[in-house]
Amino acid sequence: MAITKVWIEEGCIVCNACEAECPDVFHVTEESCHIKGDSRKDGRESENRDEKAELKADLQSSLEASIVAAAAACPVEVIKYDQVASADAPGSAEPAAAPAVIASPAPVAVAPEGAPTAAPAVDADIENAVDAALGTTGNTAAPVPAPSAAPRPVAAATPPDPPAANPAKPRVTKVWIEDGCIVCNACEADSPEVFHVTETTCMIKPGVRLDGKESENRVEKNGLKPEDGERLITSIITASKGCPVDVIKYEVLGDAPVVEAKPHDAAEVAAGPFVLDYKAAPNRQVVMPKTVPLPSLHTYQEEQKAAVAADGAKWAKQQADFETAKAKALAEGKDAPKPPVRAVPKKNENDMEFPAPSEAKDPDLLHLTDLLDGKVSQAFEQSGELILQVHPDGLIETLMFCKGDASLRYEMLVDQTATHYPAAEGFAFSVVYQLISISRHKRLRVRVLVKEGQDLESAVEIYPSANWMEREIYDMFGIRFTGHPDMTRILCPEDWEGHPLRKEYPTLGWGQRDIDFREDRSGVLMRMALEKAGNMGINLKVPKAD
Amino acid sequence: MFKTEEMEINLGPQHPSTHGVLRVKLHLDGETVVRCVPMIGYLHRGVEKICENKTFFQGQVWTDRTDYVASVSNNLGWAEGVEKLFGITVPRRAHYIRTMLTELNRITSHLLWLGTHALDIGAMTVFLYAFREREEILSIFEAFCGARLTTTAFRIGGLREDIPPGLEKQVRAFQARFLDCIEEYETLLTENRIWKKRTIGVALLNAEDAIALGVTGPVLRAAGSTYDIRKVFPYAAYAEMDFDVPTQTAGDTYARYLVRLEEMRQAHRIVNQCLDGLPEGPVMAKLPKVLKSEVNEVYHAIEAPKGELGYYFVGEKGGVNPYRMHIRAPSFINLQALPKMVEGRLLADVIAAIGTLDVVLGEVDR
Repeated sequence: MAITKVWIEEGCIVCNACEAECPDVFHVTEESCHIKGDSRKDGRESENRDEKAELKADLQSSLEASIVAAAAACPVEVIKYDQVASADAPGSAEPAAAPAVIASPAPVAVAPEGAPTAAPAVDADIENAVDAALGTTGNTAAPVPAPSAAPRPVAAATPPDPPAANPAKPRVTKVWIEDGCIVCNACEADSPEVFHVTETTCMIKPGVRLDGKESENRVEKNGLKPEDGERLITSIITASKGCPVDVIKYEVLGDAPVVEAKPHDAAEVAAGPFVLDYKAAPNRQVVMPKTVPLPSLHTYQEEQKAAVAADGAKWAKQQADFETAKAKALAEGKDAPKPPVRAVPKKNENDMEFPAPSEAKDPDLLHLTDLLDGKVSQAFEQSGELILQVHPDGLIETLMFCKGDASLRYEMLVDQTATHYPAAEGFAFSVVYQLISISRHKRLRVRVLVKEGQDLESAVEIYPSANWMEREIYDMFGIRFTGHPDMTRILCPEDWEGHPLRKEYPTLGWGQRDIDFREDRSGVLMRMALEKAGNMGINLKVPKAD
Repeated sequence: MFKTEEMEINLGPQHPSTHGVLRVKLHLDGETVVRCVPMIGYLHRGVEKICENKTFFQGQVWTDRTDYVASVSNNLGWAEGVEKLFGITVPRRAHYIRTMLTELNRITSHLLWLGTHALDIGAMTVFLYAFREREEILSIFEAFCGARLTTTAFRIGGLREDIPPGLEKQVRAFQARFLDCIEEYETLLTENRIWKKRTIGVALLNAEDAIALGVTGPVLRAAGSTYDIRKVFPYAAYAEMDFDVPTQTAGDTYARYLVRLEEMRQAHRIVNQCLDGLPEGPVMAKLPKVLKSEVNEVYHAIEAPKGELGYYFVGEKGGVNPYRMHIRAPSFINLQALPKMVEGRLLADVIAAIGTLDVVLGEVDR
């Protein structure tokens, strides 16, 4: 095994990683990385991209390991090299078959014939590596050698079929922390050599990094030192799997061992990271309505009947009581008690009379009830308004009749809104459409009852003014309208949580803080207590030492 | 030779011509508006949710803050909506005083519109004249209820107090010179060539589109419709008033200007009639101490200066709060017509269109 040529492709970011890995070959200038003249047969220093000059014969095998490591460490993967199986005669015996261009750590372009035979040896090596790693970290996870074809969760690619007799042990080339660390310390417990958890995030320690800096390594993706990457592979993977928010990412060169996440302390897992639960604050309690105030002629009549029946029952009981009392008085020889007087309903002395619902007499309501045979749930009049409740299936048909029928001509949809009825059975919302007929000077209210999660058909096709009103209903209640051109929020921001006009939505905003005055940061309460104590002749002040 | 490209720019949310916090996303081809998307919600305070958690008396305070240049109209809509929900009969004298104050409020709203709209288009002078008269009306409000803008002028069932002594004189003094003031505005604008050039044929909206988009108020009447709730579904004392509904047929910015000026004259007429025919009697209905609603649902609409202002109430049995309250805000619905008015027209006309719609963002976002 030897490396005959090494060159730098375009795109070097001058990160110095290769020079740290292999100072004999690489020299990083201000613009790019060069292959040193001392190491080359032609003695020139350049990127060696076009001329592809060979390395000096004595360096070809001695520097092989460090060049491979440098190529692996290159964050932009511009270091390429020709590797041949035989060290002594580069390009002499079988120049055509021997060089395999390694675009590490990407898969190899040319599959060498010797690969299958080498595979078992590699597996054995992995086992050794895992054992070694387990030994160093004291991990309890049971390692299982991974089948080489199995896709790794995070590794950039399946490792290349190892070239003949390149039994490089699997190692982590890079590890970095994505955005979203919750500073839970789990990774530091798993792999204290690599991770360092600060107050705000998790850092990759300088000791294991090529550039010797401490950072999250998210942007620069600096490589790990090869020996540390090899030694700490298991613990890094364990830490990555154990991360509750999955922000630890890594790249593996070679087959990564399968590691099971270390079970953390059960209580710790159950409690999770500390998050202030705004929604559980005591002042966010909502009193849910218990009644369903949906005006309807039918329920009004039922209530009236029940009230009359209750009144009659009360009167009957009063009379029965009187009869028994009278019989008892007669038996005892006393005077008979006074007969009961039926209570007269209290006279209304206020300028206020409840506008009771009445039967539909308006020709519009009767006409619509005829037209929409069976789709009208109820039609009645109340407070001088016409109310037509229809089945959701017949809604669009109703609106089309209202607008198009020659004897109706409701030209304008003037308002559309909804009401939330959480206590109702069989429906959750009522949606009302206020129509006016400008030519006939009439108003009509069409009402539909909607179940939770049920979509209504949009009225935009018939009445274009429904556009923003339906968006507002969606924003405020979460009722969606099918066929609407732009079913988005309108008043709240697009990432708003919840629908504010539903009854379960609290009147205090999400994230509004409940101020606890018991904390007494300014010392006001303490001062008041001292003053009060002073008034009562009690000295609460701590005496100062003279 | 030149590369053409459609450009997207934001007008607002902090643009001096938007009278509040309105953002209009414009797609421009040169100076021509290709697409216009109004983005609203910057002033959303959840008035409907708040009012559901306030009693019927407390909720009226919040209506002052929706359309804050026409708060008396909002108070009237709220009070009459609640009265309709409960079936309360209001004394006739209270109706007359309410009508008078609401018409004075219409004048202040139109004066503010006139001043700022002209200012946007470049006619600076009329702004000062308009605000001079507006101040006078605000002083009348102050004399009546103690507040200039957030009036909470009425109570459910009538008025808290009868009009104070001296108010009638104050109103009559204003009435005596207001018609001349309108003449003054007209000399500044009506035959002004620059004003006509900036308004005639600008931000067109015909009656058919206006009705389809739910547009009401002066914008609809400037397109030819005679729909005015004061005439069609009379409320307060309007059934007893003699006034005309001014209309125009052009449907452009100039027509809306003429309609609103004429509406001020008609408001002036109505105020005079209210003062002359003010009946004697109580100003408050007899009501129980606590208003507890029955199960009922009403929609009450009035003709606010901007258009149809509707209050939708749902009452719960024994409830002291409305179970549900919804405001049909005329500015919100009228703003829907903005894309229709400006698409295909010039960018400078967007400013005129926002002004001529007379939207108040506090009412759009509620």
